[in-house]
Amino acid sequence: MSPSDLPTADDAPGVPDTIQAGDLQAFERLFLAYVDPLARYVYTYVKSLEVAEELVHDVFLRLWLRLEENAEPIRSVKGYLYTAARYEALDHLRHQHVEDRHRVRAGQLALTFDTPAMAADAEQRLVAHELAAAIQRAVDDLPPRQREVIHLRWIRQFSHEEIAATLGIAVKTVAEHLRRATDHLRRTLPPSVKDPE
Amino acid sequence: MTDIDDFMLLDRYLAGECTVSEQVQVEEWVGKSPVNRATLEGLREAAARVHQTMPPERKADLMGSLRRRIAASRRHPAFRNAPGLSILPSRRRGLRFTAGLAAAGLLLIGTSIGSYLVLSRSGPDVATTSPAAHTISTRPGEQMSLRLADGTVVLLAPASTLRLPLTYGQPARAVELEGQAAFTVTHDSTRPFVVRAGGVVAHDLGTRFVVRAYAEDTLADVVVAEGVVAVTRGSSPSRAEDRLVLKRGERARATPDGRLALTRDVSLDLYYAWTEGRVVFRRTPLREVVIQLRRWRNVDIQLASPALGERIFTGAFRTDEPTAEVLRLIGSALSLQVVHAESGRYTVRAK
Repeated sequence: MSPSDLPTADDAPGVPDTIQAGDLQAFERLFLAYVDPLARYVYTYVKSLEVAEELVHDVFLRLWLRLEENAEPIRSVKGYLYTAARYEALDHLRHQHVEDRHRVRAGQLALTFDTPAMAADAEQRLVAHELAAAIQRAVDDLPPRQREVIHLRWIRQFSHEEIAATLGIAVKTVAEHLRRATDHLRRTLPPSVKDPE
Repeated sequence: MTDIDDFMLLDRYLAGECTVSEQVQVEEWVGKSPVNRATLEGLREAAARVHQTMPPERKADLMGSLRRRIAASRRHPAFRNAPGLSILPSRRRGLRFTAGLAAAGLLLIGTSIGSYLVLSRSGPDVATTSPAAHTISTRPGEQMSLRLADGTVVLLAPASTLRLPLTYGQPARAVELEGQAAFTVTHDSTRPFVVRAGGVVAHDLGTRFVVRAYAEDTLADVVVAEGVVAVTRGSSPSRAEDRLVLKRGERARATPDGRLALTRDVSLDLYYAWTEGRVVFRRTPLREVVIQLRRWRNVDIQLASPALGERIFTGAFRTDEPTAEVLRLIGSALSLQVVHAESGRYTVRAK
């Protein structure tokens, strides 16, 4: 795949930023632009692609019904979609947790989730999920070239020269893309990972 | 050092450019909290997912079922004035029939340890149960895990041969290797573990180490990940320079001219990547890259001219990636052309 045809919401022209009731065309453009990044985002919580796709589906259905009900247009749709997707994911995890507890009561699972240690553990895991989701969103928010550069560097472990040759850009442009990408990602990370300055 | 206060350290770690001490620093930081681990894994996984995009047909499919759900909700009186929209038409019904396609949409590359072993056999007690000569060989693309009678584990790389004497462990523990293997040795000071390979002898003093001594390389490398290993030229060298004692991150290299060279701070990832189903090159001449690829996947790769063999490549692959994809990436990185003939032979040439 050539780096320029990577799909992303940001560089797809005509993806609406505001949406109002009844505008099915805009709604469909919105869905096609965001279903993929949102599914990746939700996946970081639920760890199942099938569930992630279903939850994103629900996000859009709720959005449509909400518009019909309120008739208030939604501004900054992207922020709305990510927030809604996060709630769907957390809600799904909560229900899963309740189901697990029911199974414990029914004697089907030899586990207990009610000790303080387990609760603390569950909370820490949730923090880790939130972080992974924030990183996923931050990576999806990067311009395609920057995303491609971090992929070639962190996964392919290419040298700067090799990345430049692969993308057909100058070596110093590679360094610039990398700097911008890491600057953007650094802002999503918890304080202990940031530069002290 | 308790915190990673430099994001660029994580960047270098992910890019495989860390020194051993930096690697230790990152690993300690990761071990300190699940949040730190999630940060590193999150960065790695998100970067791995860059090309794992949903096919347009899948998006169109999902859009179609969304339209049907919207239509269904309109007919359903419960949705006319439902506050908070707590009831939704079942998403299961709309989606179930396409569930089988989901896997095609967003395949996730695992980068976790051990997920891509080409072949892993947890061997029987080879040293005591096999009646034949204990010569264990792997073919190209094959990998084998052996547990010896004393608990020592040997992971044998592709195109490698391990010879175990019938008397292994009674009391001496000595093996011979041609090719590459990772050893995790159960320490026993009364019976030292010894590997003979490519003219060097590695005397384990309780540890994890890799020996790489393929005949065609005319080199023998011993690299230590944990503990201490003594490396000698021959069994009982008389000269002091024919003996080295290695610690973590150190490498002994026996060269064809009969010298034994010590290198500190080598990349352990470079020597251990294959044990996790990855193959990593660091400033490696292309002819050497081709030799290694042939070991990992029994394929015919030719360089159009010997000069191409001197081109330098740095990069990482999973050992289960298709050859065509691996060569395409190398070709793009070095601006070379890769021709795939009908016969299955690949030729790499200048553009």
